[in-house]
Amino acid sequence: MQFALTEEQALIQDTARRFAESELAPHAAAMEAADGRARYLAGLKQLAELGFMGLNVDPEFGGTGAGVVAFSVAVTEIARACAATAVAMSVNNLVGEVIQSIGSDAQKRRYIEPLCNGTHPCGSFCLSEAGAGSDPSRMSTRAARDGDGWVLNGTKMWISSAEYAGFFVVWAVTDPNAPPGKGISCFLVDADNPGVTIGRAEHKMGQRASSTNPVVLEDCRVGADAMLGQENAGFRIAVGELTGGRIGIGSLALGVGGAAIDFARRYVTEREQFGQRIADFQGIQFTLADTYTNLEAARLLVLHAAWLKENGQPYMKAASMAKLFASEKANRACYDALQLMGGAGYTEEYPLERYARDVRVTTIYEGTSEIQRVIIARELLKEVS
Amino acid sequence: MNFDIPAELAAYLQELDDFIEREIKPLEATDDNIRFFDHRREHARTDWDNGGRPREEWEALLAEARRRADAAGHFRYAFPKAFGGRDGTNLGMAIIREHLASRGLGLHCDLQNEHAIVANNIGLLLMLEYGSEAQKEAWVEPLATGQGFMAFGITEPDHGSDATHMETTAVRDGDGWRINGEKTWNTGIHTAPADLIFARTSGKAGDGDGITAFIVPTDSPGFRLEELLWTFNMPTDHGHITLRDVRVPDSAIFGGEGRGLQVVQHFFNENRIRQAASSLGAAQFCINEAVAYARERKPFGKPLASNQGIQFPLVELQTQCEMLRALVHKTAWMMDTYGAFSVSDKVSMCNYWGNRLCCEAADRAMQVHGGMGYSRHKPFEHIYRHHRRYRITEGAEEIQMRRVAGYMFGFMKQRAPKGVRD
Repeated sequence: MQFALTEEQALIQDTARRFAESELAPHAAAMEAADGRARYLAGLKQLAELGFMGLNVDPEFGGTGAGVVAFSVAVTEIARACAATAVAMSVNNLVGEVIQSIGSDAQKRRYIEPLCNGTHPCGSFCLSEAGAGSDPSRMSTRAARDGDGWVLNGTKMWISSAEYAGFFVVWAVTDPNAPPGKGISCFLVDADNPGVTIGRAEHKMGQRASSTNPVVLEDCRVGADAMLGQENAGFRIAVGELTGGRIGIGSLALGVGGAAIDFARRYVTEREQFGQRIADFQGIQFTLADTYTNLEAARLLVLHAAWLKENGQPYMKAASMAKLFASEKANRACYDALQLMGGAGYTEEYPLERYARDVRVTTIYEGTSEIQRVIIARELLKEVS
Repeated sequence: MNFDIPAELAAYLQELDDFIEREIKPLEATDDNIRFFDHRREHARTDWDNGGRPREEWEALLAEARRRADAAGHFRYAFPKAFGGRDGTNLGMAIIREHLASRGLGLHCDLQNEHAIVANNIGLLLMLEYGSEAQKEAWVEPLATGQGFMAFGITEPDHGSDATHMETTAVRDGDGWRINGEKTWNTGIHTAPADLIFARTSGKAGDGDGITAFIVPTDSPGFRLEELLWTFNMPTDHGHITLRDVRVPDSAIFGGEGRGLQVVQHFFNENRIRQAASSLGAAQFCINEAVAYARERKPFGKPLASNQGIQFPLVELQTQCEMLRALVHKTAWMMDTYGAFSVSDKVSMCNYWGNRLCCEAADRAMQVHGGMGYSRHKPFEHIYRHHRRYRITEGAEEIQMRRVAGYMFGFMKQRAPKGVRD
C-alpha cells in the first residue's frame, strides 16, 4: 500500500492548484456571463500550455504521459476553481486517449497533438441523442456508404464544447439491421465539415461557461479514413473506452464539493450569532465532520479507480462506484455548505450558489447515478455467476 | 377536517390507564413478576432447556392479565358487540395500540407475544368474516376470551414473500382432503390446538386463486412440530412444522375452496396497520426516554440536552413520528370509512416506515443513554430486537414497497389485491 502521491503527481497537483487559484478562480464568475467566452477559451489555452490536455497521453503524440492519477488530481484542482473548465479538460484528455488507443497512425498524428497543444481548444464526443441518452444503443444517427467514404445524417444532443471544438468523435449506425449496439461505428468529423451545423446552446443551470449544443449532421460526408476503430465495433468504445470519463467526472465533483465546504468552513469560524462563532454549535460542527468524511471517502474511491486504470487492471466497477459516490456526496456537500452560509450562501456575492449549480449535473452526465448503479450491480453479479 | 382524537376514545385511553394502574401494575409487582420485564427478562421468559420456548409461568402470567382485561371489559374492544366487544374501529385500535406501546414494556402490552389488554385478535375477526356456522360454534368463544388460539401456517422454508408459489398441496381424498408439505414461522404453534394451513388445491404456482385454507388440529396424525426457530429476540414460539398425509374433512376448509389468499390479504391489512401503530408508540417511548435522560444527565457539567449533536437526531425522529402519526390515523380512518382494501398502499407505507422508525428510535435512545442504553437495565435493546423482527415479518419492508410500487405504477389493483375479487 502506498497512499502518497509521487513527486511528479504532487508537482502536477501543486501546479494545477496554483494555476486554478491565480488564473481561474478570479474569473470563474465572469466566465459565466454572455461575454465571458474569450476569457474561458484563454483558460483552456493556458491549460494546454501546461500540458494538462493530454496528461495520460504519450509524449510521442504531444501528451504529458503523467498517468491517470495525475490526471485525476489535476482535474480536482481545476474544478475547485471552475467546473466548466475542468469538464472541458476531462473530455479533452479522454478524446486524446481514445484516439491513441484505437486510432490509426494517421488519425493519431492528425488529431492528438493539436488537441494537446491547444490548437484545437476542444475535442467533443457526439454520442447522446434526443431519444438515446442512458441507452445510446438505440441511437438513430445513420452513416451510409458513399463510394469509398460515408455520409452521416442525424442530430446529436448535449454536445459539450461543440461551439469551439476542432473536431467531433461521432457515433452512428452503420448496420441498421444489426441488433441494438451491434451495428454502430465511430467517426472523426472535422468541425469545418460543411455537413456539420451547431445548434443553439442549451440554457443550463450550471457549468454555464462551457457550451452545450445540439450538433446536426446533414449529408455530412467523410472519407473511409474517418472511421475510428473497426466497422460496427463503435459501441464497444462508448461503453468501454469512455469508462475513463467517469474517473474524470468523479474527480471534478470532488473538487467542486471540496471547494464549497472549504469556503463554508472558513465562514463559520468568522460568523457570530447568539454571542458565539456559529462554528461552536454542534449542529454546524457535525455537518462539517460528516461532509469531510464523505469527501475523503470519495477521494479514496476516485484515486483507487485511477490507480487501477493506470496499472492496467480492470476498473469498470471501481470507476462507476467512484463516480456515483463522489458525485452524490459532492452534491450533498455543496447544498450543506450553502446552508452553513445562510442567506449569504444564496447570493452571488459568494461562490456557493455557483458551486451548487455546477455540481448538480455531475450525477447526471457521463452516466447518471442510476446507470452507475446498473453497471455496479451488473459487475457484482458477473463476479459470482 | 378535524384532527381531534374522538372524545370517547380519549376518555377510553384514560380508562385504560386507570385499569393498568389498578389491576396490571400490582400484578407486575407481585411474586417478582417484574423479572419478566427488567434486566432479567430474556432469561425469565425463555425455557432454554426446552427448545427455547416461552416458560409456562410467563405465559400463565400473560393469560392472567388477559383474564383481568376481559373481566374489566377491555380485552374485546375490537370485537362486535354481539360477542361482548365494543365494535372498535381501526382508528380506535391504531390509537390504542400506539398508546399502549408508548407506555414502554409491561404486562399491559407485550408485543413479542402479540399480547395486550386490548386484543389484536385478528383470528376472531377472520372467524366471524370467513368461518362456517360449525367453525364459529367451535372457535368464537375460545378466541374471544383469548384462551384459545389458532396458529397461522402460510410461509414455507422456500417460499416467504412469494407465498403464491407455495409447495404445500391438498388433494381430494374420499370425502376429505390429504395435505402434504411443510410450513415455517408458525407463531404460537407450541400451544395452539390448531394451525390454519394454506395449501394449493388448484391452479399453478403464482396464481392468486387456488390456495385453500384448512383448520388443521395440531394433534392430527402426520402433523409434526419439527423445531422452534431460535431468533434474535428469545424466547421463540415460531415453529417449523411438517405435514405428511394429514387428512382433514371437507368441513376444515376456511373461507372457501381456492379462496385462501383473500383470508391472508384481509389479515395483512388489519394487522399491518396495528403493527405500524405499535411501532409508532414504541418509537415515541424511546424518544421520550432519550429526551428525559438527556435533560437529566450532566457530563462536562451541563445537561446532555444542551448539545445540538444530541438534540438534532431526536428532532429528526420526533418529526418523523408526527408525520407517521398523521398518516396512520388517516389510513385507519379510511379503512373504517371505505373498507380494509381501500388503502392497501397506505397501510404498507405506514407499516414499513413505522417499523424502521422504531428501530432507529431505539438505536438512538441507546446511543443517547450510552453504556446504560446498551445494558439490559434499559428496555431499548429489547425494543430494537423486537421491532427489527417487524421489518421482516408481516411482509418485509421490500414487500411493502413492492406493494406501494404496484399501485403507483399500475401493476396491482388497489381494491383487489391478488386473490381478492373486486
